Amino acid sequence: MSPSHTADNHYIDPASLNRADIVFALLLHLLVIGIIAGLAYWQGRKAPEPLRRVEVMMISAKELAKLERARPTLPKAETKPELPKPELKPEPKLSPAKTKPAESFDPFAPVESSTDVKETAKTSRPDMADIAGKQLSQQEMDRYIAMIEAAVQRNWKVPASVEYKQDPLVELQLQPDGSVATIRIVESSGNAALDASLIRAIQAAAPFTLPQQQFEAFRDNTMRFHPLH
Amino acid sequence: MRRLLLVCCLLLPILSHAAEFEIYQSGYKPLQLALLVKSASANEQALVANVVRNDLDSSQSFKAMNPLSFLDTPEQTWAKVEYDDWRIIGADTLALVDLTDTAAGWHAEVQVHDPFRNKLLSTVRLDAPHDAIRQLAHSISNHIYQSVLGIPGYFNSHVLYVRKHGEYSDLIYMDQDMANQQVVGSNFTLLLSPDWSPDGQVVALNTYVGNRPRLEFFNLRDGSRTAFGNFKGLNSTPEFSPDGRYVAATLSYTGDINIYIYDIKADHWQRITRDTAIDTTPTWSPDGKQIAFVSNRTGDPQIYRMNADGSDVTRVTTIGNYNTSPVWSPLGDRIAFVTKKDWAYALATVRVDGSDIRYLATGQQIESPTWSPNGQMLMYAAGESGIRRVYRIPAWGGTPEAVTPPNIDASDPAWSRH
Repeated sequence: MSPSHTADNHYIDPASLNRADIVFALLLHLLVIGIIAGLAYWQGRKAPEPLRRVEVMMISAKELAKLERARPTLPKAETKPELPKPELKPEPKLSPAKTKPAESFDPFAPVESSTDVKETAKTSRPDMADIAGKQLSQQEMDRYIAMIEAAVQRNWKVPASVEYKQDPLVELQLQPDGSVATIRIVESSGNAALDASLIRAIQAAAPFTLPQQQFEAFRDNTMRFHPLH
Repeated sequence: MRRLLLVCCLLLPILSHAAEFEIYQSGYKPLQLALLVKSASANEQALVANVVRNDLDSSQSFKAMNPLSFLDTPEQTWAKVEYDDWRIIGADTLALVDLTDTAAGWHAEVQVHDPFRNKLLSTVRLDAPHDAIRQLAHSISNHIYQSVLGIPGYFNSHVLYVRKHGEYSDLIYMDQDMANQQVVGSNFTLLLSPDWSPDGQVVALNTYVGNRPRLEFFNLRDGSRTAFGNFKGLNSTPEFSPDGRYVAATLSYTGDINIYIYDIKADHWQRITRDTAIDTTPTWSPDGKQIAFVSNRTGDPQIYRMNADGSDVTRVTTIGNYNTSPVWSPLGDRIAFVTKKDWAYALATVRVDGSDIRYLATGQQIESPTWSPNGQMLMYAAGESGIRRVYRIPAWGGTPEAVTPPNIDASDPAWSRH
């Protein structure tokens, strides 16, 4: 910065600085340094979180039921050595897969959206949902519809060309958590194998992502399937 | 009361705000098949599992899953089917086979489940002699196929094709899965368009003796050959009527190339078309009432159909200037044929009224389509750099798969009718 350009009121003449200004500046610097040092110290004191290994494995529904049955008795199991069931052994290894460690922060977890369906959604009253639901724009509603359509279409497997009479219509009731409550074929295609493919498509695509506030709009649905000719 | 009901009915569409979805089929996709074969004999267990997997995979309507992904063992599953365990790995179809060795032969108990509908679709018991375990496996494939698709399987069917080497041609027989290959007739001087009789005992074919073409019956049991069409000029493209009583073929002894029908019992030929143009390659509708054929009566080869007595000739194909080799589907609704598309030969099917052409495969040289007995698959010969191979493709599309090796010249496939 050349002096010729600083001849305006932003230019501060060093001679005009009084003692108080210098002290203030010094204190400000000290404060900043202090905060940084304090933070560094605090960070250093916190023990580094050890890396944890989470093993995930798929187990059969039967095994899962067995584990869930066994879980409540586990604390007592230590006091009752007469019940050392060998099949309980996998429990410590398997539990991380199903019980989320509450205190851990998962940086890869998706950011929660206010429209995501959570367990709590089950408690929302329909009338409240409707009132709140008005907040969703038509565009957002269409997005949910398109997502559901895409999911069902992806999972719709027609394994061979079959003769059918008409494009079938399916009535689908959903739960607030996006799972399927009931599926009913209202208008049959006239071909049992093709009708079966529709049920498979919906079951394979479920659970669906639904807007929490406007679940009522997705409770009772109809799906028209259009097979290739 | 009635008025109240009416009001309710009128209000119902306003009160209920059901979301409406439209789902469009984008194509055909195979069903994931989980196959569990249980047997005390490891060899036969592996053999049956392989044959069934290969059969169902080759139909392209199923895709056999890797057993390593299964969460339950065959023993657990036979005790109780946990549908959740099969749904979670994406199994659309679960097939259980229990194979036991009895004094009389092999006994198989088969269950087919739909995990997504929590449903046992069917159960069956099958028996076979000890030396027919492959046939038993094909019967298991048929049963699974029919239970899920509602269409009869074709896995116990057979295929004939012509292998040409130098001046001579052999007639080769094989199971539809390429197993059990046998040379049933050898050293023909040219061998063209074999066709199975409906009972599977006899083949009608076109061969040459010296330089003269003639039509022969070839007996598959004893290998005997009987000439039944030996006229001056062309004697070609024989096809049995569905009841096995007649053979339609092309003859030219009058000077014009026309369609004739041969009455086997009466040993009598009857002329069906009387056009001065070339009429050739007759193919029967499955009810035996109509015949489709190729004619160049408008200048280009096109496909026509007529009543079996020659009346009521109707043009089928209207697109393009090259449509040949018609073969009527055993289901009756479509005709497979060879056409040209974008300057390449193509295998296609068309509805018998000429609508809805489906192009299935293209290539340099495509010939001789033949239908599987259930009308779901087609085989055809296609040439690439001089060597012809036989390919198989689903009639609704899918991927062509070669069924003959690349080191032999294979052509003129004929699929048995059962």
